[in-house]
Amino acid sequence: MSSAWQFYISSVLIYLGVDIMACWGLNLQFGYAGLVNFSFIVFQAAGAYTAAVLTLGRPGPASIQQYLGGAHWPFPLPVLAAGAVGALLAAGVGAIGLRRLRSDYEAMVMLVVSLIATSIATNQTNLVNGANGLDLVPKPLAGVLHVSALSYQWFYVAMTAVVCVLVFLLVTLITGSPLGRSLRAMRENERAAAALGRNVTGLRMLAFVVGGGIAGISGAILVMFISAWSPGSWLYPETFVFFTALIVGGSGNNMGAVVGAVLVPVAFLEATRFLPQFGPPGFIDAVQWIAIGLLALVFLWFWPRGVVPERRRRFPRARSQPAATGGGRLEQNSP
Amino acid sequence: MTSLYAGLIDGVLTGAVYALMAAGLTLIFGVMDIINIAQGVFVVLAAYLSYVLAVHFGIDLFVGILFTMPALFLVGIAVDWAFIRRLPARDRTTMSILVTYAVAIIVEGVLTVIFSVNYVQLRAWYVTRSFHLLGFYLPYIYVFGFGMAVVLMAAIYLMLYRTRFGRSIRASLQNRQAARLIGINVDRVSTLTFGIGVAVTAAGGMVFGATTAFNPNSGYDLISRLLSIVILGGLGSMAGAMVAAISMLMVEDVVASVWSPLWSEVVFFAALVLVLTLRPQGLFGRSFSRAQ
Amino acid sequence: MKGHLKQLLAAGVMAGLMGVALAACGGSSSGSKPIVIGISLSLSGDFSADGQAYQRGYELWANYVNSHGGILGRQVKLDILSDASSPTQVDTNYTKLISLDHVNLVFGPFSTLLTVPSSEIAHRYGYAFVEGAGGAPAAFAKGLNNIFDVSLPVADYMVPLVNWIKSLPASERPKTAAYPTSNDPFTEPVIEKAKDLLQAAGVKTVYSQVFPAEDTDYSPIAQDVAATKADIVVLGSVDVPTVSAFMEAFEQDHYSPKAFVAAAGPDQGSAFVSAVGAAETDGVMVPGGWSGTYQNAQSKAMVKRYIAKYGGTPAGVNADVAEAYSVGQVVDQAVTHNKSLSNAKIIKYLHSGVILSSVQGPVQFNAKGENGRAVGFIFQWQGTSGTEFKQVLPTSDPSSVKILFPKPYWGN
Repeated sequence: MSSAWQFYISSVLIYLGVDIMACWGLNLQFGYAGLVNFSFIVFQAAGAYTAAVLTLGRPGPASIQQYLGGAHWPFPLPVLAAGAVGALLAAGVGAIGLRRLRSDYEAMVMLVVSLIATSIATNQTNLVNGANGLDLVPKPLAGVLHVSALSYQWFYVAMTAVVCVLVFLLVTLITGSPLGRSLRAMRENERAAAALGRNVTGLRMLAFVVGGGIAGISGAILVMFISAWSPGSWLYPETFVFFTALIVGGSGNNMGAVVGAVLVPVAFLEATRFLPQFGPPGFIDAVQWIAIGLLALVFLWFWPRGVVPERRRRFPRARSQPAATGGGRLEQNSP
Repeated sequence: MTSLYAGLIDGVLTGAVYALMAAGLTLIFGVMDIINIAQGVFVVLAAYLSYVLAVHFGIDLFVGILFTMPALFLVGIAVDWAFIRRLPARDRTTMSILVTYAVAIIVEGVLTVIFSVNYVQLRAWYVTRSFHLLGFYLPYIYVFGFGMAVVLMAAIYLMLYRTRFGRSIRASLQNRQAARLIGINVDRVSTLTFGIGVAVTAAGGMVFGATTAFNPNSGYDLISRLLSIVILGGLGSMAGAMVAAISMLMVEDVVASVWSPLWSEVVFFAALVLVLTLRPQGLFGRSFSRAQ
Repeated sequence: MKGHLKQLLAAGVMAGLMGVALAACGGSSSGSKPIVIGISLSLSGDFSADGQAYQRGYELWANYVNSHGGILGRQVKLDILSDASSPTQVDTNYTKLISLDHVNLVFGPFSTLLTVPSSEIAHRYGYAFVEGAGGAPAAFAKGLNNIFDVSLPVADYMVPLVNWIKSLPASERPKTAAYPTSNDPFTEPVIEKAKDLLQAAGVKTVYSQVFPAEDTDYSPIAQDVAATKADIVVLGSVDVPTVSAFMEAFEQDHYSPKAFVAAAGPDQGSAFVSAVGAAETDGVMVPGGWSGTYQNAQSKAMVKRYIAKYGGTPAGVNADVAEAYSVGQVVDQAVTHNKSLSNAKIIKYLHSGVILSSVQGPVQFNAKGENGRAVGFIFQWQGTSGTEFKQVLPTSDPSSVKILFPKPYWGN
């Protein structure tokens, strides 16, 4: 394989790893806990900024980029800090936005959170360098490894894979345990779950905060690879891509999230990148977004449970009335 | 001090127009559980329609609304028929965001092909002129726009509270299922609501286009303001939209004048967060009428 | 069973879509060997108006070159990706262009904001980075050896204006000035320098505020400026809607400064006129290195071809077109001289102090990569037709016509 192809494929694999992590994070919130978090990309962005600022060092007075703080932390620490910041931010946003609002109202509040975050990051230029964003983020361990650019690419792929596995363990720790069952119960019928003694508010917060932390970690891995980050990279429509991925892949199960990440952000968007430029300027950009919207619609229409549907839970005595995935929520959303 | 008063006056005048655009959004959201991300681009579409009428047919901007409102009503009905009513019941709100975003991109793309990305602005004698009142220059366009917004908001209010159709809308707004049970054709009400919600952007779009140079991308910045107004005002509330829009514009204008333009949005957002902390349902929202 | 069928279908749809995409990819490569030039432009998003003008400039140049035998006997092919005005996307685009598409050369994107990250990518791969729209100090702050800006260095934009104000007799000289500026790496240096110089010359600063670049409502800011009744307004704008919003609010407040200069916007030709209205343009000034009426043989020829293709008048040609065109011309001269596409040789040649020609006039790069030969002008829209875009400063330049001062009232 030529080095260009290796370069390209390794880049795509890194993006894939980042997208899979993000989909797991959103799946925990949306698929398991039923939280309609339309500000998901903000938590990824927060992680990315954190990792960037903690590796770039303090900005000098004449530096071309100005930002708050700044440090030279050694490699795994910025990633962990990014996860912590994502989780903390989620705790803050969750405290205001998740106070048992109607789920559709919640969606709108979260969307506005995304818009507010973009506006603040853009206009408060001394925070994270405004619209110009942060640039020249150093590559982790590049100074220690002394390998060729291509070998480093593959090293980064391996590192992303390791982080992915760790995130997966964290996610299954929650979804595979009784906690996961409580989350699903709450998603299907919040009142019933509360009546059965589940701490609904606590459960929602847990899913939101862990999801936010995972988003933060994915942002750190992404920014250390592309080495630049700006408000233009995390506009609110980016969240739509992850939602579409979950809808296409099948929400409420971690394999579905993986399939969604493979199909939508990676395969679908990478494929359109190969299209030659045709039509009026900006046409391909627009087509991508139209396709994302229509793809979600078509899937909901024909395959509402996605490519990999959530496994039906069988309970010994309720075989004739399986606790189906969509049913409960369907009645709730249109009472 | 003068700049403070100027900010307050500006806030009221321009706020009413934003309220009108947000009213459509909040109505659609309240009745249908649909978050219409395309509302911003519909405003821009309306502004372009006014532009075409003014430039090619010499029709006055305010007279032109008589044509653009029905046109946008039809656009709304068409979008509802093609996309919205096809949304499955499951995850309807979530899906509506994804699908109306696609609609926004389609409309934006068509506008770009027809009008290019160069900025235009609506022109009329009242756009750049103003009159002097109590030491302030009041631009005619703001005053006229304010008047029109108040009239249209009153019309929507009367429609909601004084007509049979309005009762059906309010019933659907409170409880779809119950409305259906008492014989209301909820689907028809939804379609008409979407049409009306989009049609009111025609008037707002005209004033927007006369006060701002716009291009097909302009809807993007607009939607953030409209959504903020809706959640601050409270879901489905006309009065809430009015109060929220005017206070938003006032806060921003006053902060820009007395402190720094860089802080105006931040201060507004801080106020928004504060309100949501104290009243999660917004200023005028009913609490949990349809909570889970 | 039915569920499985649906799953298969779903997978099939995806596979089909990808197949189409890959086929399209395969079909695009061809047997001949043109010189491929990679460019990322903002074809959508905030800078789309400028991005598309840049595209016209680059394509106009490529068409000209191809119809005159190409470069080194090879045809030129532009590989243009859209970055949607996002700095992150611009990084990804240049990485893809260089490492995957193996383009021979790269040209710069629009605006300093996108030039800074992309010049770094090009530097990493040893590519020469010739650009026309990244003249702000931030672009040169890193001291990269591969960046070359063919246009006028941004910080000096207002210098002709300052010199002219200083030359006025004390009775005519403006006493006060307002400097509203957007927070952008392009505008802030321009406005800062103008403010410092004018203050030193005794012009009092009565308003100096930075406003967010993403604002939608400029009227309260404009009203504050109007309330100061400043003699001149130097507006740090990046685009047309900002300028138009200020002009409208000034007129609504019955305020017409003696001079109104905007850092960018009025240089966009017909795109500016259509946004603000032809009558309103009378007396509005903008700094720059080029206009469609520039008296230069190459420039006149380019404008003629531009109008033949896109219509309009010479005054209506966006200055972005000439900036992009000049990038092509400079690289063409370097490659032709070296008889090689080697980027290292291009960098060496452009740093050699050689004087090149372009539609914007002579080009000679200093050690930083700025065009030391570029001459700054102030242009002014005159009359109410929206077709008279005149060079007015410096007065010593033979092509300058008489400046309109004080500026006529809006729309007369």
